[in-house]
Amino acid sequence: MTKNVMVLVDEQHRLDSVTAAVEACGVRVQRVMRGMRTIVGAVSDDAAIERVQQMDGVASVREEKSFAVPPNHRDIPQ
Amino acid sequence: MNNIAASPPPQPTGNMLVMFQPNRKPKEIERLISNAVGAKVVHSRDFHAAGPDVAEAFAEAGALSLDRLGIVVIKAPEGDGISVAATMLRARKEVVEVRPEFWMHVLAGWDERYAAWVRDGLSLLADPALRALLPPGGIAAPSFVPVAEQISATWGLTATGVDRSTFSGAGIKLAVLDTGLDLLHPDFAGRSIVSASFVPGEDVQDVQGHGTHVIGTACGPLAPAEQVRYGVAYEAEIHVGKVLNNAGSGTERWILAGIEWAVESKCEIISLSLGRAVQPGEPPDPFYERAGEYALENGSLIIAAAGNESWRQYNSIRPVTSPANAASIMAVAAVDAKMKVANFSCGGINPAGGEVNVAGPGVDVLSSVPVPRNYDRFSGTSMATPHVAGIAALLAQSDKSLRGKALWTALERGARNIGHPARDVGSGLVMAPGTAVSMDLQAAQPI
Repeated sequence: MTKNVMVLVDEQHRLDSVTAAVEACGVRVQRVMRGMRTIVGAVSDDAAIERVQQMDGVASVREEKSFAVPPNHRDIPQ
Repeated sequence: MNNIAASPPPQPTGNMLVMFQPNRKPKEIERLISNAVGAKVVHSRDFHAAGPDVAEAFAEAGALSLDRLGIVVIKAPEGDGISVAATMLRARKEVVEVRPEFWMHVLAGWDERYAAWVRDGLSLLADPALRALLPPGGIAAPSFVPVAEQISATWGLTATGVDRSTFSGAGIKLAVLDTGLDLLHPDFAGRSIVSASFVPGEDVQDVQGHGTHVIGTACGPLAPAEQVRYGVAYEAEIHVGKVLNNAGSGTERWILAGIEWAVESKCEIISLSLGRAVQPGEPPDPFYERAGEYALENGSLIIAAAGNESWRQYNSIRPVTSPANAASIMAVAAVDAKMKVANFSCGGINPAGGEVNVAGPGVDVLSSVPVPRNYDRFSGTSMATPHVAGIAALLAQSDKSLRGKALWTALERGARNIGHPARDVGSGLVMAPGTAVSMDLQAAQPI
């Protein structure tokens, strides 16, 4: 099962080198948002997430989630 | 009843308009039309500009689908064909309405023209004398928003002093990251709009409705033709970032990409009417902490909805949701017209960013929704947030030094104490700058 993941790179490490290392851990990197030091990508096994978690320079890694707004209705708080 | 001015007598064109329920697939519509009238369907989106091409293609094919509106125009068949076809289509559950097309004043493009036709057509239906022109039965009664507010602005704009402010948001870029905007809405015609969609396969056109309502509050016009004023920063440059799809949901990468785009576009304000519930004691998410810091470092301020998970009538106050709970993102609670905290409004339960920062009008808020409904009233911290974002644009216009964290501080300093604990409303109700009239009134008060 492919899972979408997000990786936050800390301020002490170079974004490019951490991105390369994250890729080497098995993350298919899809987008790097430089200003936010955030990498989004996909993994095909949970072990890859655990490997990234152990890496130097990774402040946070987790599965990507989603947001939703409720149906437009006067009685449902928006 | 409606509040649209009397129109000239309608002249049927002989064509028929069929309105489908939202989100019907083009293929499904093509099949239904083909079965009913044997016409081929051409799509308006395949024609880039108004001109003879679309008219020629329509004449040849027999039906033109205005996909974004969910409306198909069918060329009149000979003889009795049209009434048979209308009956067949009207019987389908996918069809909302079937009616004759009328000649109307020609507006700019095809889409605008049809938006006006639909709007005016619905108003014509309200006139009993004109019903004689229509096929009997089967037409849904039009619904209109009554003009309940007899004053010049919504309660929210009055309560926050926006209607008395001398500022308009001119020169300020305000991004709203949501379900998009109805680009055909008459109240946004001629506005300076920059847009980008981060939802794969969907353009910025708002289908769900949430985005159009929120943008209406933040940036709606000074003097809408058919309503009281409901928008705050009426001269701000609107940046529409579509980060929620037509069903109203979005992945975090779309939202983060939208924030990145808004910051890189140098938007002074980013309005986020979305969130995800968190548990008491749950710390803020580091991803949004960083996103908020990145915005502040670049002179942008992210303003987000505190969330609607509380049930205050049962003494349940839930914590401010994510991403509003990030310490680098401003959290907005909702109050009603009597300055009572809305029952649903989340509170400052969690520390380190989980506080409410300010409150905004968030109950029974009139604003724009996609045509043909045009206006509706909703409640939620989603509605309070764009009031604050719009007022932030007024403040940013009033003083060039108010950017990022300084703008945040100015919003809090300017807020009015409405007698509730900071847990519920932060610094209080956000107030517009430059309310010259209210100052005059104050000066005129006897001591």
